[in-house]
Amino acid sequence: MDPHPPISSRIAIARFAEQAVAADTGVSPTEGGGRWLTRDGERTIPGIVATASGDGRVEVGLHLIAHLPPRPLEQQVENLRSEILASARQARLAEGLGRIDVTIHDLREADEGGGVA
Amino acid sequence: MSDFQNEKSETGGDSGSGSTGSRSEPLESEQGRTTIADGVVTKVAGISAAEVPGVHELGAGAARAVGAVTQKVGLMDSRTQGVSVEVGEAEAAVDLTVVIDYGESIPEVSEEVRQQVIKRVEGITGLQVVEVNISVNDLYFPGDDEPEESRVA
Repeated sequence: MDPHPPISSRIAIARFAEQAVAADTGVSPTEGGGRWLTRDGERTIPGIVATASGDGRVEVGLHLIAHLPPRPLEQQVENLRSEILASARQARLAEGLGRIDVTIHDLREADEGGGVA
Repeated sequence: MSDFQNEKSETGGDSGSGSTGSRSEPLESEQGRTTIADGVVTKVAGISAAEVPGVHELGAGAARAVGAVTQKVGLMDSRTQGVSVEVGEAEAAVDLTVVIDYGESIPEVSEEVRQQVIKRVEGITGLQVVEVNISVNDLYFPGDDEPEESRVA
């Protein structure tokens, strides 16, 4: 069995989003009770919803908790979008990347967890 | 105690000098939309109001009493006490209930709270703050927290 089966562009983009969020110490993904996630084989990517849109591109929804102390959120969000786009470009998937919608659900200490009521 | 209502500052108006707000469009670009939940704006407003010298704490009397208990058992976040917000696509309105230290000028502290909240909420969330309504619910006297001495041995 191939340990690295080929993946769809949707899953590849979801992974880029996951990496971008993980690299940003100012945010974490919501756990969200399973509402916002992408299934990636056996595992799930929490806080990230990657969906194929009608025009064939992949739209991304990031559902995040921002960390205290508060920092300008717009700048953080733009940085995340840029990181995802850069990764998609590197993998020659940029043309397949659609909108990246971001929802900041809460503002918490980094160690308070990612659940959303 | 009667409330001192220091009402409604329209940003861009006479008292809106702390506002950076010229934005009126939603937080949206070609790359996507950004949505900020009410709870985020509530916490930013609460934290920034509490930073102002002369503000003893936030919240109305009953809410503070209940809040003290619920915070101890982890059911409530002190950062949201005394703050309510209304958040639209591009604008936010904030209502605050505060307790001010006795001896401070209520109008000055209120205005400083208003400017601080406008500056921080707009800077952090990108939303334009169109109103900050402040209700001064109580005054804090040093010694209020100390238990009363018993009159009997």
